[in-house]
This record gives sequence, C-alpha cells and structure tokens, in this order.
Amino acid sequence: MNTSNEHLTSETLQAFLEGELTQEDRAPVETHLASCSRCASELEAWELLFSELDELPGLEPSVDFADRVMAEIPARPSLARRMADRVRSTLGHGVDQAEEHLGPDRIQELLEGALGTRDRRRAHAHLHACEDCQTVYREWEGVFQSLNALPRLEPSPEFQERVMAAFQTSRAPARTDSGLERVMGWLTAAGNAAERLIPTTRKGWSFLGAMASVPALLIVAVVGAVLAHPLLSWGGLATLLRWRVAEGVETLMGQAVQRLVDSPLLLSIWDGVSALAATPTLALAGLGAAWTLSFLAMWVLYRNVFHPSSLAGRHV
Amino acid sequence: MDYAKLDDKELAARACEGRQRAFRELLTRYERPVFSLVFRMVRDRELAEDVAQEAFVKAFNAIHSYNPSYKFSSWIFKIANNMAIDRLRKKELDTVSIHGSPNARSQDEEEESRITLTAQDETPDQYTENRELGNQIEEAMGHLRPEYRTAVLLRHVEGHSYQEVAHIMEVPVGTVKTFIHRGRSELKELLAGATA
Repeated sequence: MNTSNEHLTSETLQAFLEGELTQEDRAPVETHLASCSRCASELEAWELLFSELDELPGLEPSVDFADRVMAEIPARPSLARRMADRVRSTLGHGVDQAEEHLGPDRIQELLEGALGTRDRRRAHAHLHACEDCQTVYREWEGVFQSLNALPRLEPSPEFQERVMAAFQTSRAPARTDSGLERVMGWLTAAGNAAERLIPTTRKGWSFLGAMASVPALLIVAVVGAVLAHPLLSWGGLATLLRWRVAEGVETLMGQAVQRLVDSPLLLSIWDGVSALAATPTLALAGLGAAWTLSFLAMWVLYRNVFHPSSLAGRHV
Repeated sequence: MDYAKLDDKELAARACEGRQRAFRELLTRYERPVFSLVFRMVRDRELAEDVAQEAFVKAFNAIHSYNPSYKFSSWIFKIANNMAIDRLRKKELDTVSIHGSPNARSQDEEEESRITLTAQDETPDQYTENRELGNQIEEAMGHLRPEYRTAVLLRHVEGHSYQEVAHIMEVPVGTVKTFIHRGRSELKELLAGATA
C-alpha cells in the first residue's frame, strides 16, 4: 500500500476501482487522490478502460455450436466404474493408462519434494504403471544427481591475502582495538542498536508514545498532588525558588571573591605594579608596548572583519 | 574473542566497527562459495578471481549498507552475481566485428577486408580447454543463459531456497522457478545430446 507521499501503483488503483480495498486501506487512497492530480488522471484512465471492458459485447457462436461440443463429450461412465476410479484415486493404487504423462515441471517438483501429498501419491502411481515416464524420471534423476554433486571450486591460495590487501588500499586505515576508537566502536554499536529500536509501524509508534508518556503523566500526577495541599500555591513556590536561587548566587560570588583575595597571583600582580610605579621609565615602556599591541590588534580586526581585502587574483 | 563462533550478522556488526578480524572471517567463510559462483558464470579462473575480489572489496567497503534482516550470504551473492553479469556483458561487447571495406567489389573481397577483434581473455574453445569445467555437466552449464545458470547454481550448489534465490537475483519467486525449471530442462537435453 502506498503512503500519502508516494504515487499510487496501478495495482492499488485497480483494486480501488474494483472495491477490493478494505475501509482502512481505502481512506489513504482517497486522501491521496484528492491531492494528487497525476494519480487522479490515472484513475480516470483506468475507469475509462474498465467501462470499455464492461461494455464489450458478448459474441454469439454458430447455432449448432452446442450440439457439436456435446457430441465430443464422452458418455458418462457407469456408477460402478466411477466408484472404482474414485477408490483407485484415493488409495493411490494403480493408474489409468489414459492418464496424462508426467511433464518436466511435474517430475522436477516430484524430485524436489515440492508436491503435496495427494499429487505426490498420484505421480508415484503413474510412474509405477507407466514405463515411458519411468525412463524420463530416471533421466531427470541423473540431472539432479549431477547438479547436486557439483563441488564448490577453490580459488588460488593467495586469494584471501589479495582481497584483504585490495580492501586495505581501498579504504582509510583500519581502527585498532584500543582507547578512544574502542569507545567510538561501542558508541556506534549502541547507535545501531538504538536505531533498531525506532518503530517502523503505526502500532510501534503508538506503543512507544504510550511508554514515553507514562513518566510525564506520573510527574503531572505528583505535582498535582503536591499543589492540592491547601498551604501550597504557585506564587509560594515561585517565591521559594527565587530565594533559593538568590541565596545560591550570593554564596558563589562570596566564595569567588574570597578566593581571589586569598590567591598568591593577585599578590604577585600587585607587587609587579608597585615595582613598575617605582621605576617610571619601565612603566612608560610597558604602557607603550601595551598601546602598540592594542593598535595592532585593532588593525587586524579592522582588516579581517570590517574591511576584508579580496583574495581574488592572489596565488595560493 | 573467537570470531569463528560468531554468526554472520554479528560478524557484519563488528566489521561495521572496522574490525579486521571480522572482515577476514567473513572472507574465509564466503571465498569458496562466491568464487565458485563467479567462476562458473565467467568461466575463466583468472577473471573469476578478479571479479570475486572486486565483489568482496565492494561489499566490505559498503558493509554499513548491509541490512541484517537478510542473510549475509544473500547480500554477498547478489553483489558478486551482479558483477559477474556485468563482466559477461562487457565480454560480449569486447568482441567487435568491423565491417569489410565499402570499396570491395565482391563478397570475397569484403570478407577478406573484414576484421574481427576478440578479447584476449575469451577463446572459443575455453570451455573444453578448461579442465576444471571440462566435464559434461560443467560444459552443459556453460551453455545456459546467465540467469538460468545463476538460479540453478544457487539452488543446487549453494542450497538456497527459491525465496532466497529470488532475493539474490531481484526477481519474483515465480520467475526463479521458471529459470530453474527451464535451466534444468536445457541441461537435460544437452546431457542427452552429449551421451547420444
């Protein structure tokens, strides 16, 4: 059956016209036909063909046709004869010499064991009584024996190494069984396994949706039960949350400032700045270097971001 | 880990991870079946090894596209068979007949000026010269149409079911049945003609 994105097959269209689709299958076809002009026009073409076929007139045979046919039909055998034939057929003993010979397809199916019990019994009964078919059957047995005896042939001893060498040269270097690559292998395998868990049918998706919604429903139920308490409200919870966040931020900031004040790095920087202040020449040189570096950084930023020069015409 | 104890699908999954030993184990398992099929199709040992090698390299490089819902054997046979059929078609094209000179005044002259180029790897007496494929049934097999040959070989030598052969050859099961029945019928006639 087509999905709504694919065009309808001729088999689907014919089944639709003949009313062979179930109600479930019919709905998506109708939806698709309503939105797809190509399939709709193909359906019209099929309808036209169906109506033309339906309108084909019945042709009359000649007047004596029925008499001529009836004259060719042998008289019905007697009741005793019919019963005897029935018993022979059921028991599988003996066969009427007039029965049709076994054709090549029949014999092949018999040799392959593809015939049903009744057909097999009939075929064996015919073989038992028909020497011609026995001869042909033996020839077929020979063909089957020859075919089944065909051996697998060996490639040359170096074939495997040749294949592996050709494979190695045709791809990137193989992974080893260690370290990060092993973890990547596990992740790939886990990804493949997860991919197999993705449903491919509507029922599968329904089941997965139901399973996924269970925790969400549980959470909603717990929240509902908590909020049902008369002393609890959304506003109260929001205020509590705000207090908690503010308290946490305050604690973190305090810890960060304390660590900065206690750190030897800050002390070293302060000592450096004090030493620079004591020697004005060194301080001026430092300021000059800082100013030059800042100017260069600004220039690089300007040339690359605000006014980039074209690379066209330059050699690599 | 003993890779020989893993089934084909587990080996293919490890091959997807790039494990060399998995590739080698798959090669060990299928080198004979694949080579046998290809050899009987192209009927030239050297060419068969080249085609089988190409089939394995192609399959190994595309191992991520293998669908584990199907047998690995069906997948590798499908690749190998398609490559063998392509090579057979190419061999047919390699035999080129250049028509005789338009200036020829008689049919004899036209015949004399005609050039026929035959591929070096294909000789008319190859079937009988090749000892491995020289017995009656192998020779008869060489006269079958390629699709009959593939179907009969997959059924009888590899023991695949009709459904599996249909999957490998990408044709309906009914068509496979027709291929196999007609192939066997032709073999029977050829064998009867050879013994007469």
